[in-house]
Amino acid sequence: MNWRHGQDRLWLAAFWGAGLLILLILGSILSCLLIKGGPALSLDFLTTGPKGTPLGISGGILPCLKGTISLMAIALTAAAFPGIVTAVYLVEFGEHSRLKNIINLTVQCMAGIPSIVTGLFGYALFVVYSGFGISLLAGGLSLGIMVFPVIVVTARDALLGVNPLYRLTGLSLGVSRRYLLVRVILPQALPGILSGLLLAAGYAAGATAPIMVTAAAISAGSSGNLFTPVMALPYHLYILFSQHISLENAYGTALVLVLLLLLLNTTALWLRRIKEKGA
Amino acid sequence: MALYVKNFSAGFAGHQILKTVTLRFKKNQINVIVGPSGCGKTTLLKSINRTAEMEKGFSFSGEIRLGKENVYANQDPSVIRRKIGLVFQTPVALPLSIKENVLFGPRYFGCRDKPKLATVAEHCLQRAGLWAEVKDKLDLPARTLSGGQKQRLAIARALAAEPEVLLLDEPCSSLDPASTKLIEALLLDLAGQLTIVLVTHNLFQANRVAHEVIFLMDGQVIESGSRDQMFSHPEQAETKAFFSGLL
Repeated sequence: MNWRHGQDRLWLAAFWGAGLLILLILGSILSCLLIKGGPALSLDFLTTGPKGTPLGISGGILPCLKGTISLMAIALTAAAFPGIVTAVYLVEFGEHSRLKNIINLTVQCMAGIPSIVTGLFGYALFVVYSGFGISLLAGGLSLGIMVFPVIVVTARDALLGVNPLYRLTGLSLGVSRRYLLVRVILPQALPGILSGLLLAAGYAAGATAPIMVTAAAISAGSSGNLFTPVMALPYHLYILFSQHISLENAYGTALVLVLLLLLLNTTALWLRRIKEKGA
Repeated sequence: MALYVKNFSAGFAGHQILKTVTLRFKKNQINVIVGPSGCGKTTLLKSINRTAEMEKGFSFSGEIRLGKENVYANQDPSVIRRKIGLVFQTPVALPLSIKENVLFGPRYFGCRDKPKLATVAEHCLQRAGLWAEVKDKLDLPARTLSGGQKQRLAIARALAAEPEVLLLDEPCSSLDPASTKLIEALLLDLAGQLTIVLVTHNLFQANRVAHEVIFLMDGQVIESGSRDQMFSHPEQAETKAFFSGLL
C-alpha cells in the first residue's frame, strides 16, 4: 500500500513538474522580452513608423503592425470559409465516404509542409503566375494556404465535440442534415471554430518564412494597397536583429508580436471556456 | 397506422442482430417489446424509423411496412422518420429553448405562422403532460429541465412532427419513479391516437401499460400476444423463464 502511495506521489510530482516547466519556459521568454524590449515600448513606438539610417535604428513599428494585421485578415478571409466547409463535410456529410479519408490525409500532409516551402509555392503561384508581385495579397494568400489545415483540424474537432445525441435526436425527427447543422450543430461548435480561427490568426501573424518571399519589404508605407509590398512584425524583427540595426527595437518588436499572439490565444481560450460552460 | 415487420434481418458490419423477424404492431395500441439485453430491441426500433442506417456498416433484408407503405422504399429516410417518431433512452434536450425544442420539427416542415406555432407548442406540451410545469418559462433553455421533464419534452417534440407511430426506447430507464409514473400515464393517454411501440426492461412497466407484448430473444421473436395472455399463459418455455426471472 505504501509503495503504491509513494508511486502515486511520484507521478503527481512528475505531472506538476511538467506543468511548472512549461510555465517556467513561457515565463522566461516573457521576462526576457520585457526586460530587453520593455524600454523600447512606448506610445510613440506603436504609433510611428521606423526612422533613421539604417531604417529602424529609431522610430516605431506602426506600418509593421498594420501589415501584420492586414496579412492576418487576408489569410483568414481566404482560408476560413473553405476550411470550415471542409470540416463540415468531414464530420457531417462524408461519414462513410472514401473521399473523407483522402481529405484527412491531404490536410495532414498540408500541415506538415515546412512554411518556407509554402512560401515558395505562394511565390510561384501568386507572385509570378498570377502576377500579383511581391505584395500584401500574395503574402496573405500564402499565409492562407499555411493556416488552412489548422482551421480544418480545429473546426473538425469543434464539430466532433458537439453532443452526438443532438444529431441522432434531430435527424430522427425527419429534418434534413442541413437544417440540423444550421440550427443546432454550428451554433454549438461556433465558439470552438472561432477559437480555431484565432489560433490560425496567431500562427499567421508569427510566420516569417512565407512572407519573406511573397510580401515583406524592409521599408513600405501602410497604404493598405493589396498589390504593394508590406512591412510585417516578424520580418521587421528579423531584419533589425540580423543586420544589427537595433537590438533594443528588435526586442521591442518581438514583445509586441508576442503580446499580440498572447491576446489572440487568450481570446481563443476564453471562447473555448464559453463553449464548455454552454455544454 | 398499423406497422408490419416481415422476414426482417439486420446487423452491423457483418454481425447479424435481428434474424428474420416477423411482427405486427397493432394500430393505436401500446405494443411493448421485452427481452434480455442485447437481444436486438433497440436495433429493431432504429430499423423501423431508419436511424439505424446512420450507423456504419448497417445492412438489412426483409420488409417493414407502415400501412401499405414500404418503409425502405423511399430514397430519403427523413420522410419515414417524420411519420415514425423515436424517443431515446437518454433524455435529450436540444440546445434551444423549451418552445423551440417542440417547434424544431414544425419549423422545418414549413410552419411559419407565429400564432399557429404557439398553438402547436402549447398543444404538444399539453399532450406530453408538461404544459403546466413550463408554460411560464417557454423561452428558457431546455437544459434547465429535470431528466423526467426532458423526456416528456422529447415526447412533445416527437409529437409535434405529427407521427403516425411513436417508438420509445426504454424512455424511463434513467428516471425516478414519479417521472416514470407520469410518462406511463401519458403513454396510456396517447394510445388510441397513435400506434406506440415501447421497449422496456421493466416487466412491471410492461404489465402496467401494454396492450400487446412481444418477447424478443437472440434477435428472434419467441412469442407475442396480448398482455394477459403473455403474462398469465405464456406458451414458450423461454417466455416462461424470462417472465419468471430465470433468463
